Amino acid sequence: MIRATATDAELLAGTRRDAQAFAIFYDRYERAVLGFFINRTRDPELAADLTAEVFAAALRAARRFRAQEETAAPWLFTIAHNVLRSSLRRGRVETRARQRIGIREPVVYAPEELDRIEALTDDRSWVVELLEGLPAEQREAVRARVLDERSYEDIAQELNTSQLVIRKRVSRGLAALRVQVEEKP
Amino acid sequence: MTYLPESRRQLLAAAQRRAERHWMPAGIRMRVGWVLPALSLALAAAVAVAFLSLRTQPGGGTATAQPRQLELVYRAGPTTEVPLVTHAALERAARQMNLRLSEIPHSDSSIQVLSGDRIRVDVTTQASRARVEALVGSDARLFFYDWETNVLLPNGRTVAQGLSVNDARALELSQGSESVPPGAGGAGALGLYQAVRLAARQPYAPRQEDSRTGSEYYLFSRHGHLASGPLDVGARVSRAGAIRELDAGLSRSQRQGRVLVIKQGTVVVQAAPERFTVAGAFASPSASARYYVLRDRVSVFGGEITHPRAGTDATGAPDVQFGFTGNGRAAFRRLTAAVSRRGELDSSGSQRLFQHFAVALDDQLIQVPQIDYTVYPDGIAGSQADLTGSFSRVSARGLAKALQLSALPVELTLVSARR
Repeated sequence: MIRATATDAELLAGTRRDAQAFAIFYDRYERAVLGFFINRTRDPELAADLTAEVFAAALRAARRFRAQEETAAPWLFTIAHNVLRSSLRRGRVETRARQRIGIREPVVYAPEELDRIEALTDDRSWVVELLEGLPAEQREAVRARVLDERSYEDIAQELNTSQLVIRKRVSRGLAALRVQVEEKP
Repeated sequence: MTYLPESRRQLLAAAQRRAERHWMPAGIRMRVGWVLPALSLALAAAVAVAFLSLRTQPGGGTATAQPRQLELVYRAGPTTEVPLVTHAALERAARQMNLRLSEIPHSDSSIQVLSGDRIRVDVTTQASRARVEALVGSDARLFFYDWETNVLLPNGRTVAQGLSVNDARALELSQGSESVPPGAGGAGALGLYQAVRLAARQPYAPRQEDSRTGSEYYLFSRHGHLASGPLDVGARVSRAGAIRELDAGLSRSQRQGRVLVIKQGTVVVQAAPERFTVAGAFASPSASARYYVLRDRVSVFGGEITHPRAGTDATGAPDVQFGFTGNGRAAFRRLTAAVSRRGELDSSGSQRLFQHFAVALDDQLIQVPQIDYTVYPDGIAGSQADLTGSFSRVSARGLAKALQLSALPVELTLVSARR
């Protein structure tokens, strides 16, 4: 029986036997991924489509997730970056992952759903609020690495420290974010 | 509460299928191996034939000519506002196109969103094919820019940068000159050739806030007259291909000019006219018109305005009024707050340098309003805005109509037309 308190690694490993594990994983990160996309595209429908594609890709790749990782957030956001980049390159929302898991029916979103997603674009969106809850060093590192997509090397140089330190800050920051995601109503 | 209940349902159903396959005995799995693709094929076929059909009501009045049938098929491409073509965007475009076609009297039309990125228009009308194409394909777009941080001086620096070192030209572009307001032809604007040459020197700088994607090509004669263009081409079109298109139909001597290419990230806009006379026929390059070069960083897109209509301002002068979406309201407030703050910072003592934002319809400046930082220190938070100053009643109505019909979420390319 998968519990809501399971780690990301347990959930992703559990999806092979129990769809409920993926439900928990999805609920844990849906808002984060939507927030990521809406802040880049400013289009709620687009953000919704891209989010669905990311989770479809995550479902397909779940067994490849390395269990020793503290959190799946960096892995999931790497998928998100790739989906966005690939979609922009092709000029169409990527649908390959959804098609490969048998989802071929386009989703039509209700206006109220789009309004809720659009609300994530405000300056005081949940992403910023969550970041504000982190210690300054972790906030800076997560913002630079995940939101601004900068390399560890680049960030380490700017902050005059080692890449290893930055990696730890990002990892801890993302782990803390995950806890906050779970605590959000 | 989930944000995307239907997507979540689909994903969990897929997860469930995968879990069942994983635990299913091998014999059953083989059968599922046949069944799932078959079901998938059936689903795909259902999606392929699914389309949105919208029908306009036949127009009233007495027909005097025999209506003819016309079929147009468009391919939808991304725009900077909608960088990825989604099914929902295609549906929105179809609704918008249907609204446009309802402008033609005595017409009966249906619009179908086909699978992939195609939209088919079937119309029975007395109107010419050219008129139908012009109406369906026209695409007036409204953009709001921060004026001083985007408009460029002849040296390639922005006016905001110039103001910080008391550059006289920057002051003229920001504040206008004598009776000429900023953004008008006499306030430091350039001729077309000078403007395009300045724009062509700017680096490729794509941003999410760009009003256009790809490059824009111009061909000028040796004397600096426009011979061909502007031609907007996507990123995948080579320079040689673009020049071939630019040269099409020109004589050998006409082709002997200079090609200038404005890379993505910079735009040339025509100065605001003293008065708008003909609605909808705004920007068209001409020898007498004057131009500005802007960094293409749009603060608010036309898709974020709502309910445009013609009206009158407090003094009775014609204006165009509109509202904002929630997103647009926030963006407009951010824009005006930034302009207000900069005006306050650049002012000193009794010298007040109010700064501005610009409103452009496609490549035509409409207005460059100033923000009084003493009145709006935190920007304008209202849900309504209006454009005033240089409209006749006819041109105000024309602009309002253009905005109502504007902003197709996708870029249309006609791929076939037949009667």
